[in-house]
Amino acid sequence: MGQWSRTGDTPPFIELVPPERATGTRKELYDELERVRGPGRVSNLFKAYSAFPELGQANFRRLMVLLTRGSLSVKFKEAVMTALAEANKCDYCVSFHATAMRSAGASDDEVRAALEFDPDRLGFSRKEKLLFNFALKANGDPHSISPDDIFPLREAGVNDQEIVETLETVNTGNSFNMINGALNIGPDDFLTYMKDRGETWKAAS
Amino acid sequence: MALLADIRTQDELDVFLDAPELTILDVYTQDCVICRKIEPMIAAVVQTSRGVQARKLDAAALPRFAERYEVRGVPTLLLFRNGRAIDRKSGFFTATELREWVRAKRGA
Repeated sequence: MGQWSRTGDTPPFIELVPPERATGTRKELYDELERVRGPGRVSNLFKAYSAFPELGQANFRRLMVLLTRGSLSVKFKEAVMTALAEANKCDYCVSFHATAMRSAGASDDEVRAALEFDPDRLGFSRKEKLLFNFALKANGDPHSISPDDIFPLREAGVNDQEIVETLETVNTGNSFNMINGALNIGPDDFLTYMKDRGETWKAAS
Repeated sequence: MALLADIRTQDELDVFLDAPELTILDVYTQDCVICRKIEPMIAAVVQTSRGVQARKLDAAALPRFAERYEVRGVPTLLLFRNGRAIDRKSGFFTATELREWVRAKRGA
């Protein structure tokens, strides 16, 4: 089934090969996902990426570098990706990243704050608040970013790596939202949290 | 998927803008990518701020309005209270910036 927010029961637009049928490089990708995330946690997004398994492997490695290296917290990066998923109206992505936010120590209220684009309620440092808004601005209109947007970051002690780390978080969130949306890729069976966003959007529209 | 309801007629617009609360009118066009990016920001501000309402207007739907208010680019956000335009902004703004804008204008 596709994304919760879509009407009807349209299946994804490409085949999502289940782990029990995976072979070769696709199986290597699935094995790596299960090794890192746990048994049964091959996400539908990476099942889609496995149509081009080498690219899937490269993307997963990139994601792992983003989440495990650098100096910004996983909670910060998952909050940015939760906010982007909300902005991009990817309900699968909201559920996935909200779940990851909770795993990184965020409360339900903080998840709600990310969905409302409000860094003041996320338990963030001043630097993280500024970077959260910088991420939203880069997503909204990257070409409008000016020295006036960079100056407060510098004053708060943000370095070049943290700026790149934040922008790559935006890039990653957007690219995953886009692939899930364009291919009508629906939620993973292992997700249980924040499954109601699609219904909320439908009710509001 | 629309987050802000569209204004479709002049009568609807007149009633909406005459409201005593702070009223954001988001003037957009169908092909404007940044307009789609700012809409969830505005919706979140309305959801989390008391006494603020917002709707959107396709600039092509009521061209005389866009002309009267000199809307030269989109998105343009016009802030009204009691039928009077009290401020405006153009371009993308984060929800934090919009909350500060609304807060600053609330007492004005």
